[in-house]
Amino acid sequence: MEYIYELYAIGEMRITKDITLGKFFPGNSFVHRLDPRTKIFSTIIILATVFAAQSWPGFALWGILIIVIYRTSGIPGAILIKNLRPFFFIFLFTFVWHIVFLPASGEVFFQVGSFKITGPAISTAIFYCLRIALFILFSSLLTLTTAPLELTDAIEITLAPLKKIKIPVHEFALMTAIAIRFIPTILDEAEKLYQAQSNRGAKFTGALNERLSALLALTVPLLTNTFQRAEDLALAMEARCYDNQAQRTNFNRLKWNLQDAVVLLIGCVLAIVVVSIDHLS
Amino acid sequence: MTANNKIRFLIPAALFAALTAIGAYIKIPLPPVPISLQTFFVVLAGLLLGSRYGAISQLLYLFIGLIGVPVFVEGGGLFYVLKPTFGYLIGFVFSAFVIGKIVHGSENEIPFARALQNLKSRSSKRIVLACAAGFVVIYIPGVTYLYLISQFYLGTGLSFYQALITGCAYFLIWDIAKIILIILFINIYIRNEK
Repeated sequence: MEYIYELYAIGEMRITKDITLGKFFPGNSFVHRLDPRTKIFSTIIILATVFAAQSWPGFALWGILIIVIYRTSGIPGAILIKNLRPFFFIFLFTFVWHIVFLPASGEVFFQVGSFKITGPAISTAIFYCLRIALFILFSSLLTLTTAPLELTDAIEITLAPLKKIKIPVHEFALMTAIAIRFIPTILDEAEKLYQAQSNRGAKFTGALNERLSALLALTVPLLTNTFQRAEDLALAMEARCYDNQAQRTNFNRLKWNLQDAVVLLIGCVLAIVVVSIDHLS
Repeated sequence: MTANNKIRFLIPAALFAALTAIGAYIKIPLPPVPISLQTFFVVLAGLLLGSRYGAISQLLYLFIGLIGVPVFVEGGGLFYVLKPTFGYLIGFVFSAFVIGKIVHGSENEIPFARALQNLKSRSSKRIVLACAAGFVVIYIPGVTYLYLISQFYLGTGLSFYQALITGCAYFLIWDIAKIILIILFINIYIRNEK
């Protein structure tokens, strides 16, 4: 599954957007081969513990774990750094805010006039930044090692009991698949329309009213075509007697192996260890 | 079409989720911040799909982004829930719902042709009101989320008033421009449909 996503900065040169953020990174490592359900559950357990973490030893344990997992999954470090990059300002903001505006009492580390930076303030700042980093790394791990449709399948199977209380789980999974399938198609179409309308004289640059009318020239046919597509697809599916109430099977069956049970068990044990460390110290 | 078959509602909603995703990529360089077409499609989802399926289409958009398809402005993935701006994306769901409710009343499941008919018969005032309400509804969870994240997750003591200023005051002008765009859009689109 490889899509090309591009950013259309209308009125400027088109820039290819580098969207590797949180995107699936294909591979055949141990982590990739785990059942997506295992990955979802262990991620939930770990994230809850990271969110509640209050002590340094717990952090150290998660830190070691995340390094080990990333080494086994074969995801290059450059991608990790890229994943952290959109959060740069959040890190900066959190760090500076803690040091400057929430001065904790304690040993003074640095002082200019009445402005002082204390040791405890720095350690709290680092603590909060680390917590954010751990949260980001663990949560991006799930989407880096599991394809979107695999995740959808896993969620559909896990939530299947909800069908009993009339929550349309299968329909939602179907819509997910359709939407993911059509994003590149509609994006292509948007580009074609953009070029066609520019050739006809639509001004995507220029005065505000010119831009607005150019934008209308782009969005009106885009929407008409999209609804035409929706109509065609619905017709095709109806003609083939598609019934959303029918019992269906999946082409790719999920298999729960011994390794999944082991990984989930290790995740639970680690979570319990970290929580107990927190409460003992 | 069997009575149970919802396929004619499901597919347009799915494609609207895709359109919202593409809206994040279409940016118009307007000073000081480039505006994206995302909220434009959110409003249209409410107008053309009605309250229930408009909201579902936006929920789907959120879901697709969270499972790792890069459909948000800065990519996608589960980690996006930590971005202070994630609340606006949650607001999309409510926005589409509210707009659908105001324009189409109590009709929940509206076929496309019926939605167009409704829009044709509604006064522009009602549509403008619906859009304005829709934008307000985006900001409520947006600003609240910004506040909660900075308060409890980043541990900074940002006050609610500060969150309101950073998160909302700045964008209001372009929302007015977008409402104008939507009204123009509806006039042209529906005139073409005749």
